[in-house]
Amino acid sequence: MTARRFGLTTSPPPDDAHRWAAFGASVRGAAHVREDLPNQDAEACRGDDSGRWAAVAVADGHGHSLAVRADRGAALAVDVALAAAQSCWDVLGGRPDRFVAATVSQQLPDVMADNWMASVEHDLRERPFSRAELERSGNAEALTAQPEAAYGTTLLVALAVGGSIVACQVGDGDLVAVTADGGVVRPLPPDNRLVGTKTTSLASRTAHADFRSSHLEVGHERIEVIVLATDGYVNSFSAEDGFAAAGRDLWKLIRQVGPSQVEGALANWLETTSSDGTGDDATLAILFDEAGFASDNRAAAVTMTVSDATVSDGEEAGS
Amino acid sequence: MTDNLDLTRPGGVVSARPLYFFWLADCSGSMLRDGRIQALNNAAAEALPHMRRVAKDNPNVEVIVRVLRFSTGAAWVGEGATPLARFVWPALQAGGVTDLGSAIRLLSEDLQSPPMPKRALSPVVVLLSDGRPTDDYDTALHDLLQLPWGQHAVRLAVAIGRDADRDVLRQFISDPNVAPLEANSPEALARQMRWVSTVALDAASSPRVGMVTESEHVRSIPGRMLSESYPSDGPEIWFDDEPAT
Repeated sequence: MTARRFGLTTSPPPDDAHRWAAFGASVRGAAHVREDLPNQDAEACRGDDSGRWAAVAVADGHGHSLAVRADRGAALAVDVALAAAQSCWDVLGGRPDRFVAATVSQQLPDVMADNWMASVEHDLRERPFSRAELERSGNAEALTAQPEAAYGTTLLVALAVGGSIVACQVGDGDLVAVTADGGVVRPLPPDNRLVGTKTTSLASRTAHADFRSSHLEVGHERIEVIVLATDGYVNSFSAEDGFAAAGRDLWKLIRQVGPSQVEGALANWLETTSSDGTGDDATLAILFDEAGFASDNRAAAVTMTVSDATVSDGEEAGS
Repeated sequence: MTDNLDLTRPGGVVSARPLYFFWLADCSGSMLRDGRIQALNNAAAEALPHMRRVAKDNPNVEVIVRVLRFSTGAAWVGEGATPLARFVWPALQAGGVTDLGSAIRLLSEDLQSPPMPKRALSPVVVLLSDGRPTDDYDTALHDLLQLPWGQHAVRLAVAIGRDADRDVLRQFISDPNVAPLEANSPEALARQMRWVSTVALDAASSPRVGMVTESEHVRSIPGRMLSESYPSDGPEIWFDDEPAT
């Protein structure tokens, strides 16, 4: 399990309306324990003590036999994602108002896909496949022809800079944002190709095109929490809107007991949710606006940039 | 301050991931010959305990079974989608023609969300037939394979007797790595049904994720994985070779 938080101990900059912080956790699934597989998910958070920006990423390495380095692929994916988010922040010179979310949401997928592939190629040069890995793949010929498949993984990323949020996703898993009145927003359009255990992948040659991305410009109303999770968690809920309900419950809990308590309980929740549910590795990361929890600003609307994104009323989304 | 905190696990009810297992059983008149329909009923009943054993080894998967019979027309049999723990194989009766197209159209209605839960694993569909279709199965199959769940279902077929139309069964499977299973005797039929109830079910229960846009070798359940473990049909040939209806 990894979990960390930042940006919570400093006072907000005097002119900043947002103070972003993040934490997350990842647990090995019961089915992976039974099959003697490692945790093939990864999560990471980044930001700084100013709270002016923060980013979270989760990734789910494929369970396919060819994906003999799925855990490594997932770890590389979250590293690449947060490095890209960091560079987005670095070029702003500490000025969130310079952030153009629309442009970043268009460019970030390409940057991440290219950098992930470069990281994989570097990793392969440093560490060629062992005989044991080729045997374990069950198809050495296919793995040699398409070595990046060994690292196959999904990736979900959320980046918040001031009042703007960018979300990107390739593959399965889910992402919801919760507004200050408890409404649940799904900023990313659905991908109807994700059926059963089929998923799009960073390892695919069409990864650039397979990314879904969008951005939210927060108006008078605030996005207070963004929750990202891999499918081991998302698919554990019996109800179709179970993950959205979990997002709203987490928002409520952070409000009621504070982020530290939620962070402390998160790994246990993931473990029990997965063991009673899919048995798959379960990973969840939360990006939240601390300033929002102290604010009474509850009005107006979130400006959506994806035509088929859905916004549900807070009352309907509750569990 | 923390004494009264409500740290209830977020998100509501959690449960194992559903896996739908569909049997498509040919109940045409030719299944009366040599007691094929009875052999099918016996084989299915014998396979059930093995199926339950495999399901028990995969506690994070809830297997749900449905049986669809087709002869003159097609219809679901029994009490609908039933958890494997409560499932009882219905005693199938034979008579009529082989409206496979009707069966596939009925199946297609179930391979959509809803009723199929979005979080379900790829379903397993097993076609059992001793003849050749008497209706327009081609269009029905084409439509089935346009559906995301239809496309990604683990489709298997058992050819009962020599006259089962292998080309149709291969077309139904639509995977060059997976051939129809051969069942030319009651024993072979029992063996094949036990195999699909166990090996195929176990494979479908495993979290083997594949990429949607890649080539054959990264299908969700590689055909090779299934075909390499195929049971042998054995030498017995009890089902005769007369034309089937």
